[in-house]
Amino acid sequence: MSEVEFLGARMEKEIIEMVEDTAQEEHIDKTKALKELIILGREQYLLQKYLQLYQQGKCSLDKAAKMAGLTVHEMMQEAAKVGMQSEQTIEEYRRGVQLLG
Amino acid sequence: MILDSCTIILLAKASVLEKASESYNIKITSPVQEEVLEGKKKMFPDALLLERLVNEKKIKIVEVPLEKMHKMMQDFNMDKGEASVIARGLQEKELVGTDNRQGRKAARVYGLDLIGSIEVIVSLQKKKKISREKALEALSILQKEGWFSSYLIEQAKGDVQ
Repeated sequence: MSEVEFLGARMEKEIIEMVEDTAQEEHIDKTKALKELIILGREQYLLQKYLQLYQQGKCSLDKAAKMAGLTVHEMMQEAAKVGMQSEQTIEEYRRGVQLLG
Repeated sequence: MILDSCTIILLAKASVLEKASESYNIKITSPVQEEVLEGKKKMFPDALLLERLVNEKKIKIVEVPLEKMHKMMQDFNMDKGEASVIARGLQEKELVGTDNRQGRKAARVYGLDLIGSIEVIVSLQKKKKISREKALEALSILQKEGWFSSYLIEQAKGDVQ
């Protein structure tokens, strides 16, 4: 991690409680808990964003993987988990079998 | 045939990649190799298998037409792996193997001959390179992976003699 800067933010009581609960559960201080929640949240945000772009046909799977910080293998698993399937048609499959002889 | 990372990974998971490499002239590009081998950090078996097959020269690494690759990256919002496969397929008029939606879209746009991992499995069985039982097992693995519709898998299972 790089140099530390100060970031002040007003938050609802419920969000502060999330940070406090996490700190207690993980036996870490609140600052560390907040950092970890932000990092996890950012990872989830990127995963959802790029899965959506992939589903919409706006990027390839390897591009989605790279932007979400995952390997292609992991991105395939994530896509399958949310029910994203290949759009290959029966006709394409039959043509493929023909091409392979 | 030139394969992308998705298809390499799926064939490895279905335990037919090595047999496919012995039966077909399978090529990949360096960006595809890098994408799959990233999985070594997480000890994914497909990464370790690809590394071995490349070292044993059963799968060859081929050159990438860089200008065409960059155009694919731009036009279809692809990363280097997928883009390099389509670019190579275009340049050398090679059969392209991809199970990736965007890759298949690009292949259709450019009129490239296109296959996926299901066809490779069915073909291997038709050529008697793998047994019927092995083909059915491989298709069942792909079905469990959730990457293909059950309907497509069942069609393929029906074609396995």
